[in-house]
Amino acid sequence: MLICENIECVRGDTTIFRELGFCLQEESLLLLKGPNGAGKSSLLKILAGLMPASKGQVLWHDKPITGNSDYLRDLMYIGHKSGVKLDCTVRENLEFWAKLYDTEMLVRAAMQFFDLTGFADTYAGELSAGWQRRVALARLIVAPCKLWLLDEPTNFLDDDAVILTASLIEARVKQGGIVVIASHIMASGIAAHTLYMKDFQHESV
Amino acid sequence: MSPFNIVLQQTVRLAFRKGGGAFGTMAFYIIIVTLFTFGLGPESMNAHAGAVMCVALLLSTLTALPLFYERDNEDGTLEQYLLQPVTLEILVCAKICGQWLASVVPMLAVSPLLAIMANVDGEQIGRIMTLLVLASPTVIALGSIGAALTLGSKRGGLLQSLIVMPLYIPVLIFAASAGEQAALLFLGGMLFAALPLACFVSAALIRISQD
Repeated sequence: MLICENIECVRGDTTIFRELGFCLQEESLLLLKGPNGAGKSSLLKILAGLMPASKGQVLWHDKPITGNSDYLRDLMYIGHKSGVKLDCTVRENLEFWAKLYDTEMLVRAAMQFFDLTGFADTYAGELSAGWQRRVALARLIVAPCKLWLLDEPTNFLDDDAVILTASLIEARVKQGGIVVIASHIMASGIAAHTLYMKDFQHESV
Repeated sequence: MSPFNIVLQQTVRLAFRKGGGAFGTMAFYIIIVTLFTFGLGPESMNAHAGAVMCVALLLSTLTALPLFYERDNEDGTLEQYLLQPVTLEILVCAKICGQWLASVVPMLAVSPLLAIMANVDGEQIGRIMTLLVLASPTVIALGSIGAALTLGSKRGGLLQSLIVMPLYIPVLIFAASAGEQAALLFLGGMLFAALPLACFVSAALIRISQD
Protein backbone atom coordinates (compact mmCIF):
# COMPACT_ATOMS: atom_id res chain seq x y z
CA MET A 1 0.00 0.00 0.00
CA LEU A 2 1.47 3.32 -1.04
CA ILE A 3 0.46 6.42 0.86
CA CYS A 4 1.49 9.95 0.03
CA GLU A 5 0.85 12.47 2.79
CA ASN A 6 0.80 16.18 2.13
CA ILE A 7 3.79 16.22 -0.19
CA GLU A 8 5.26 19.54 -1.21
CA CYS A 9 7.89 19.91 -3.88
CA VAL A 10 10.10 22.98 -4.07
CA ARG A 11 12.69 23.44 -6.80
CA GLY A 12 14.85 26.49 -6.30
CA ASP A 13 12.43 29.26 -5.42
CA THR A 14 9.35 27.74 -6.99
CA THR A 15 6.81 25.57 -5.26
CA ILE A 16 5.83 23.11 -7.94
CA PHE A 17 3.05 21.43 -6.03
CA ARG A 18 1.79 21.28 -2.49
CA GLU A 19 -0.53 19.30 -0.22
CA LEU A 20 -0.43 16.40 -2.63
CA GLY A 21 -1.68 13.17 -1.16
CA PHE A 22 -3.12 9.83 -2.21
CA CYS A 23 -3.55 6.28 -1.02
CA LEU A 24 -3.05 3.35 -3.37
CA GLN A 25 -4.02 -0.20 -2.49
CA GLU A 26 -2.68 -3.28 -4.24
CA GLU A 27 -3.93 -3.77 -7.82
CA SER A 28 -3.97 -0.06 -8.52
CA LEU A 29 -2.84 2.00 -11.43
CA LEU A 30 -2.37 5.74 -10.97
CA LEU A 31 -2.02 8.00 -14.00
CA LEU A 32 -0.33 11.36 -13.50
CA LYS A 33 -1.69 13.94 -15.86
CA GLY A 34 -0.57 17.48 -16.40
CA PRO A 35 1.24 19.78 -18.79
CA ASN A 36 5.03 19.96 -19.06
CA GLY A 37 6.58 21.38 -15.94
CA ALA A 38 3.63 20.45 -13.76
CA GLY A 39 5.80 18.26 -11.59
CA LYS A 40 4.98 14.74 -12.78
CA SER A 41 8.64 13.77 -13.03
CA SER A 42 9.41 15.47 -9.73
CA LEU A 43 6.61 13.57 -8.01
CA LEU A 44 7.90 10.29 -9.38
CA LYS A 45 11.40 11.13 -8.18
CA ILE A 46 10.06 11.95 -4.73
CA LEU A 47 8.18 8.65 -4.69
CA ALA A 48 11.36 6.86 -5.74
CA GLY A 49 13.31 8.56 -2.98
CA LEU A 50 15.71 10.21 -5.41
CA MET A 51 14.57 13.65 -4.34
CA PRO A 52 13.44 14.68 -0.87
CA ALA A 53 10.04 16.33 -0.51
CA SER A 54 10.20 19.67 1.24
CA LYS A 55 7.15 18.71 3.27
CA GLY A 56 5.20 15.56 3.89
CA GLN A 57 6.15 11.93 3.68
CA VAL A 58 5.64 8.84 1.61
CA LEU A 59 4.71 5.58 3.30
CA TRP A 60 5.08 2.06 1.95
CA HIS A 61 3.14 -0.50 4.00
CA ASP A 62 2.86 2.16 6.69
CA LYS A 63 6.60 2.71 6.99
CA PRO A 64 8.37 5.85 5.71
CA ILE A 65 10.38 5.23 2.57
CA THR A 66 13.50 7.09 3.72
CA GLY A 67 16.21 4.59 4.53
CA ASN A 68 13.79 1.76 3.91
CA SER A 69 15.58 -0.97 1.98
CA ASP A 70 12.44 -3.13 1.74
CA TYR A 71 10.89 -0.32 -0.24
CA LEU A 72 13.87 -0.18 -2.58
CA ARG A 73 13.65 -3.93 -3.07
CA ASP A 74 9.99 -3.66 -4.10
CA LEU A 75 10.53 -0.67 -6.35
CA MET A 76 11.40 -0.33 -10.02
CA TYR A 77 11.80 3.18 -11.38
CA ILE A 78 12.22 3.97 -15.04
CA GLY A 79 12.79 7.66 -15.61
CA HIS A 80 13.77 9.70 -18.60
CA LYS A 81 17.25 8.24 -18.50
CA SER A 82 16.68 4.68 -19.58
CA GLY A 83 19.24 2.92 -17.40
CA VAL A 84 20.46 1.00 -20.44
CA LYS A 85 24.23 0.76 -20.88
CA LEU A 86 25.03 1.55 -24.49
CA ASP A 87 28.37 -0.29 -24.41
CA CYS A 88 26.74 -3.55 -23.36
CA THR A 89 24.72 -5.94 -25.49
CA VAL A 90 20.98 -6.29 -24.92
CA ARG A 91 21.54 -9.63 -23.22
CA GLU A 92 24.27 -8.21 -20.96
CA ASN A 93 22.02 -5.33 -19.97
CA LEU A 94 19.23 -7.66 -18.92
CA GLU A 95 21.60 -10.12 -17.28
CA PHE A 96 22.91 -7.31 -15.07
CA TRP A 97 19.41 -6.94 -13.63
CA ALA A 98 18.83 -10.68 -13.58
CA LYS A 99 21.95 -11.14 -11.45
CA LEU A 100 20.85 -8.44 -9.03
CA TYR A 101 17.46 -10.08 -8.57
CA ASP A 102 18.56 -13.68 -9.08
CA THR A 103 16.18 -14.17 -12.02
CA GLU A 104 18.47 -15.38 -14.79
CA MET A 105 15.70 -17.60 -16.18
CA LEU A 106 13.51 -14.59 -16.97
CA VAL A 107 15.99 -12.94 -19.36
CA ARG A 108 14.92 -14.98 -22.37
CA ALA A 109 11.23 -14.37 -21.68
CA ALA A 110 11.87 -10.65 -21.29
CA MET A 111 13.67 -10.51 -24.64
CA GLN A 112 10.94 -12.52 -26.33
CA PHE A 113 8.19 -10.27 -24.99
CA PHE A 114 9.69 -7.14 -26.50
CA ASP A 115 10.92 -8.88 -29.68
CA LEU A 116 14.53 -8.39 -28.68
CA THR A 117 15.71 -11.97 -29.20
CA GLY A 118 17.17 -11.11 -32.59
CA PHE A 119 19.15 -8.29 -31.01
CA ALA A 120 20.36 -10.23 -28.00
CA ASP A 121 24.02 -9.83 -28.88
CA THR A 122 23.79 -6.37 -30.40
CA TYR A 123 25.28 -3.47 -28.48
CA ALA A 124 22.49 -1.29 -27.12
CA GLY A 125 24.26 1.76 -28.51
CA GLU A 126 23.66 0.45 -32.03
CA LEU A 127 19.92 0.29 -31.53
CA SER A 128 17.48 3.09 -32.26
CA ALA A 129 16.01 5.08 -29.39
CA GLY A 130 12.78 3.09 -29.57
CA TRP A 131 14.54 -0.25 -29.29
CA GLN A 132 16.72 1.03 -26.45
CA ARG A 133 13.52 1.95 -24.66
CA ARG A 134 12.29 -1.61 -25.17
CA VAL A 135 15.46 -2.86 -23.48
CA ALA A 136 14.77 -0.47 -20.61
CA LEU A 137 11.20 -1.71 -20.25
CA ALA A 138 12.27 -5.34 -20.54
CA ARG A 139 13.82 -5.10 -17.11
CA LEU A 140 10.31 -4.78 -15.70
CA ILE A 141 9.95 -8.47 -16.56
CA VAL A 142 13.36 -9.48 -15.26
CA ALA A 143 13.02 -7.70 -11.92
CA PRO A 144 9.98 -8.91 -9.96
CA CYS A 145 9.06 -5.65 -8.24
CA LYS A 146 5.68 -4.84 -6.74
CA LEU A 147 5.77 -1.09 -7.34
CA TRP A 148 6.51 0.43 -10.70
CA LEU A 149 7.20 4.14 -11.10
CA LEU A 150 7.29 4.94 -14.80
CA ASP A 151 8.02 8.36 -16.26
CA GLU A 152 6.77 8.56 -19.85
CA PRO A 153 7.61 4.91 -20.54
CA THR A 154 6.21 5.04 -24.06
CA ASN A 155 8.65 7.72 -25.25
CA PHE A 156 10.08 6.73 -28.64
CA LEU A 157 8.03 3.54 -28.76
CA ASP A 158 6.17 2.49 -31.88
CA ASP A 159 2.52 1.44 -31.71
CA ASP A 160 3.29 -2.26 -31.24
CA ALA A 161 5.57 -1.56 -28.33
CA VAL A 162 3.03 0.76 -26.73
CA ILE A 163 0.48 -2.07 -26.82
CA LEU A 164 3.02 -4.48 -25.33
CA THR A 165 3.82 -2.02 -22.54
CA ALA A 166 0.15 -1.45 -21.80
CA SER A 167 -0.48 -5.17 -21.54
CA LEU A 168 2.55 -5.58 -19.29
CA ILE A 169 1.29 -2.86 -16.96
CA GLU A 170 -2.19 -4.35 -16.93
CA ALA A 171 -0.80 -7.77 -16.05
CA ARG A 172 1.30 -6.33 -13.22
CA VAL A 173 -1.69 -4.53 -11.77
CA LYS A 174 -3.89 -7.62 -11.97
CA GLN A 175 -1.23 -9.63 -10.13
CA GLY A 176 -1.43 -7.28 -7.17
CA GLY A 177 1.14 -4.68 -8.11
CA ILE A 178 0.94 -0.91 -7.93
CA VAL A 179 1.91 1.16 -10.96
CA VAL A 180 2.29 4.94 -10.97
CA ILE A 181 2.80 6.27 -14.44
CA ALA A 182 3.22 9.72 -15.94
CA SER A 183 2.15 9.50 -19.51
CA HIS A 184 0.65 11.59 -22.23
CA ILE A 185 -0.37 8.52 -24.18
CA MET A 186 -1.54 5.78 -21.90
CA ALA A 187 -5.04 6.33 -20.73
CA SER A 188 -8.09 4.49 -21.88
CA GLY A 189 -8.32 0.75 -21.85
CA ILE A 190 -6.91 0.23 -18.40
CA ALA A 191 -9.03 1.11 -15.42
CA ALA A 192 -7.02 3.71 -13.60
CA HIS A 193 -7.14 6.42 -11.02
CA THR A 194 -6.04 9.75 -12.41
CA LEU A 195 -4.18 12.48 -10.56
CA TYR A 196 -4.31 15.90 -12.15
CA MET A 197 -1.22 17.87 -11.18
CA LYS A 198 -3.10 21.16 -11.58
CA ASP A 199 -5.20 20.31 -8.53
CA PHE A 200 -2.09 20.75 -6.43
CA GLN A 201 -0.41 23.67 -8.09
CA HIS A 202 0.68 26.72 -6.18
CA GLU A 203 -1.67 29.67 -6.75
CA SER A 204 0.83 31.83 -8.55
CA VAL A 205 1.65 29.20 -11.19
CA MET B 1 26.23 -12.93 -7.00
CA SER B 2 26.49 -10.00 -4.66
CA PRO B 3 25.80 -6.50 -5.97
CA PHE B 4 29.45 -5.63 -5.26
CA ASN B 5 30.64 -8.38 -7.59
CA ILE B 6 28.05 -7.56 -10.25
CA VAL B 7 29.09 -3.89 -10.41
CA LEU B 8 32.78 -4.84 -10.23
CA GLN B 9 32.44 -7.23 -13.16
CA GLN B 10 30.54 -4.71 -15.22
CA THR B 11 33.06 -1.94 -14.54
CA VAL B 12 36.01 -4.09 -15.57
CA ARG B 13 34.25 -5.46 -18.62
CA LEU B 14 33.23 -2.02 -19.87
CA ALA B 15 36.69 -0.55 -19.28
CA PHE B 16 38.23 -3.08 -21.65
CA ARG B 17 35.70 -2.37 -24.39
CA LYS B 18 36.29 0.13 -27.17
CA GLY B 19 36.50 3.59 -25.67
CA GLY B 20 36.42 2.20 -22.16
CA GLY B 21 39.75 3.60 -21.11
CA ALA B 22 41.75 0.57 -19.95
CA PHE B 23 44.02 0.39 -22.98
CA GLY B 24 44.21 4.16 -23.23
CA THR B 25 45.69 4.54 -19.77
CA MET B 26 48.20 1.77 -20.41
CA ALA B 27 49.27 3.33 -23.71
CA PHE B 28 49.65 6.74 -22.09
CA TYR B 29 51.71 5.24 -19.28
CA ILE B 30 54.05 3.48 -21.70
CA ILE B 31 54.47 6.67 -23.74
CA ILE B 32 55.29 8.86 -20.74
CA VAL B 33 57.86 6.45 -19.29
CA THR B 34 59.43 5.93 -22.70
CA LEU B 35 59.70 9.66 -23.32
CA PHE B 36 61.35 10.17 -19.96
CA THR B 37 63.71 7.29 -20.62
CA PHE B 38 64.88 8.89 -23.81
CA GLY B 39 64.82 12.36 -22.34
CA LEU B 40 66.70 11.71 -19.11
CA GLY B 41 69.21 9.19 -20.32
CA PRO B 42 70.30 5.95 -18.59
CA GLU B 43 72.11 7.30 -15.49
CA SER B 44 69.39 9.74 -14.47
CA MET B 45 66.72 7.21 -15.26
CA ASN B 46 68.37 4.61 -13.03
CA ALA B 47 68.25 6.99 -10.10
CA HIS B 48 64.75 8.32 -10.68
CA ALA B 49 62.86 5.47 -12.31
CA GLY B 50 60.55 5.02 -9.31
CA ALA B 51 59.47 8.64 -9.25
CA VAL B 52 59.06 8.82 -13.01
CA MET B 53 56.92 5.71 -13.15
CA CYS B 54 54.82 6.93 -10.25
CA VAL B 55 54.17 10.29 -11.88
CA ALA B 56 53.43 8.54 -15.17
CA LEU B 57 50.90 6.34 -13.39
CA LEU B 58 49.21 9.35 -11.77
CA LEU B 59 48.95 11.24 -15.03
CA SER B 60 47.66 8.17 -16.88
CA THR B 61 44.88 7.61 -14.38
CA LEU B 62 43.80 11.21 -14.94
CA THR B 63 42.88 10.28 -18.50
CA ALA B 64 40.45 7.68 -17.20
CA LEU B 65 38.77 10.01 -14.68
CA PRO B 66 36.16 11.48 -17.03
CA LEU B 67 34.95 7.95 -17.69
CA PHE B 68 34.65 7.04 -14.04
CA TYR B 69 31.06 8.09 -13.41
CA GLU B 70 30.09 10.26 -16.36
CA ARG B 71 28.82 7.45 -18.58
CA ASP B 72 26.85 5.96 -15.71
CA ASN B 73 25.38 9.37 -15.02
CA GLU B 74 24.33 9.91 -18.62
CA ASP B 75 22.61 6.58 -19.16
CA GLY B 76 20.85 6.55 -15.81
CA THR B 77 22.85 3.76 -14.19
CA LEU B 78 23.88 6.03 -11.29
CA GLU B 79 20.23 6.77 -10.64
CA GLN B 80 19.57 3.05 -10.46
CA TYR B 81 22.51 2.53 -8.09
CA LEU B 82 20.81 4.97 -5.72
CA LEU B 83 17.66 2.86 -5.90
CA GLN B 84 19.32 -0.41 -4.92
CA PRO B 85 18.70 -1.81 -1.43
CA VAL B 86 22.49 -2.02 -1.08
CA THR B 87 24.28 1.02 0.36
CA LEU B 88 25.67 3.23 -2.36
CA GLU B 89 29.07 3.26 -0.63
CA ILE B 90 29.51 -0.45 -1.39
CA LEU B 91 28.71 0.04 -5.07
CA VAL B 92 31.12 2.97 -5.20
CA CYS B 93 33.78 0.75 -3.64
CA ALA B 94 33.06 -1.80 -6.37
CA LYS B 95 33.54 0.88 -9.01
CA ILE B 96 36.83 2.00 -7.48
CA CYS B 97 38.12 -1.57 -7.28
CA GLY B 98 36.94 -2.21 -10.84
CA GLN B 99 38.73 0.90 -12.08
CA TRP B 100 41.91 -0.19 -10.31
CA LEU B 101 41.73 -3.63 -11.86
CA ALA B 102 41.04 -2.26 -15.32
CA SER B 103 43.28 0.81 -15.41
CA VAL B 104 46.15 0.03 -13.08
CA VAL B 105 46.76 -3.71 -13.36
CA PRO B 106 47.68 -3.47 -17.08
CA MET B 107 50.08 -0.67 -16.20
CA LEU B 108 51.59 -2.76 -13.41
CA ALA B 109 51.93 -5.66 -15.83
CA VAL B 110 54.10 -3.68 -18.24
CA SER B 111 56.06 -1.90 -15.52
CA PRO B 112 58.81 -4.52 -15.12
CA LEU B 113 59.48 -4.34 -18.86
CA LEU B 114 59.57 -0.57 -18.77
CA ALA B 115 61.88 -0.67 -15.78
CA ILE B 116 64.30 -2.94 -17.61
CA MET B 117 64.20 -0.61 -20.59
CA ALA B 118 64.96 2.23 -18.18
CA ASN B 119 68.14 0.54 -17.06
CA VAL B 120 66.92 -0.37 -13.60
CA ASP B 121 68.41 -3.40 -11.88
CA GLY B 122 66.48 -6.37 -10.53
CA GLU B 123 66.21 -5.52 -6.85
CA GLN B 124 65.10 -1.99 -7.51
CA ILE B 125 62.42 -3.24 -9.86
CA GLY B 126 60.91 -5.13 -6.96
CA ARG B 127 60.90 -1.99 -4.81
CA ILE B 128 59.36 0.09 -7.55
CA MET B 129 56.63 -2.50 -8.11
CA THR B 130 55.78 -2.52 -4.39
CA LEU B 131 55.53 1.25 -4.42
CA LEU B 132 53.27 1.29 -7.44
CA VAL B 133 51.03 -1.44 -6.05
CA LEU B 134 50.66 0.42 -2.75
CA ALA B 135 50.23 3.89 -4.20
CA SER B 136 47.91 3.10 -7.10
CA PRO B 137 44.71 2.20 -5.22
CA THR B 138 44.97 5.48 -3.28
CA VAL B 139 45.36 7.31 -6.57
CA ILE B 140 42.21 5.71 -7.98
CA ALA B 141 40.30 6.36 -4.76
CA LEU B 142 41.20 10.05 -4.81
CA GLY B 143 40.37 10.16 -8.51
CA SER B 144 36.91 8.88 -7.68
CA ILE B 145 36.34 11.93 -5.47
CA GLY B 146 37.44 14.26 -8.26
CA ALA B 147 35.21 12.48 -10.77
CA ALA B 148 32.19 12.61 -8.47
CA LEU B 149 32.72 16.33 -7.77
CA THR B 150 32.28 17.31 -11.38
CA LEU B 151 29.35 15.03 -12.18
CA GLY B 152 26.96 16.57 -14.59
CA SER B 153 29.17 19.43 -15.64
CA LYS B 154 29.97 19.02 -19.28
CA ARG B 155 33.55 20.23 -19.26
CA GLY B 156 34.59 18.73 -15.97
CA GLY B 157 37.70 16.97 -17.19
CA LEU B 158 40.21 19.72 -16.55
CA LEU B 159 38.58 20.69 -13.27
CA GLN B 160 38.75 17.10 -12.08
CA SER B 161 42.47 16.98 -12.77
CA LEU B 162 43.11 20.28 -11.02
CA ILE B 163 41.20 19.21 -7.92
CA VAL B 164 42.75 15.80 -7.71
CA MET B 165 46.40 16.63 -8.39
CA PRO B 166 47.07 18.41 -5.07
CA LEU B 167 45.64 15.33 -3.35
CA TYR B 168 48.12 13.18 -5.23
CA ILE B 169 51.13 15.09 -3.89
CA PRO B 170 51.43 13.32 -0.51
CA VAL B 171 51.22 9.98 -2.32
CA LEU B 172 53.92 11.07 -4.71
CA ILE B 173 56.20 12.32 -1.96
CA PHE B 174 56.18 8.99 -0.18
CA ALA B 175 56.36 7.01 -3.39
CA ALA B 176 59.41 8.92 -4.51
CA SER B 177 61.38 8.30 -1.34
CA ALA B 178 63.00 5.25 -2.87
CA GLY B 179 61.14 2.53 -1.05
CA GLU B 180 62.28 2.90 2.52
CA GLN B 181 60.33 0.91 5.04
CA ALA B 182 58.71 3.97 6.60
CA ALA B 183 57.53 5.26 3.24
CA LEU B 184 55.91 1.94 2.43
CA LEU B 185 54.10 1.94 5.76
CA PHE B 186 52.86 5.46 5.13
CA LEU B 187 51.59 4.50 1.70
CA GLY B 188 49.76 1.54 3.16
CA GLY B 189 48.27 3.74 5.85
CA MET B 190 47.15 6.28 3.28
CA LEU B 191 45.44 3.52 1.36
CA PHE B 192 43.50 2.36 4.42
CA ALA B 193 42.40 5.93 5.04
CA ALA B 194 41.77 6.97 1.46
CA LEU B 195 39.63 4.05 0.33
CA PRO B 196 36.79 4.35 2.90
CA LEU B 197 36.98 8.14 2.74
CA ALA B 198 36.66 8.05 -1.03
CA CYS B 199 33.69 5.68 -0.83
CA PHE B 200 31.81 7.90 1.61
CA VAL B 201 32.64 11.19 -0.07
CA SER B 202 31.96 9.92 -3.60
CA ALA B 203 28.64 8.41 -2.56
CA ALA B 204 27.57 11.65 -0.89
CA LEU B 205 28.54 13.63 -3.99
CA ILE B 206 26.66 11.22 -6.24
CA ARG B 207 23.52 11.55 -4.10
CA ILE B 208 23.68 15.32 -4.38
CA SER B 209 24.17 15.20 -8.12
CA GLN B 210 21.08 13.06 -8.68
CA ASP B 211 18.77 15.47 -6.89
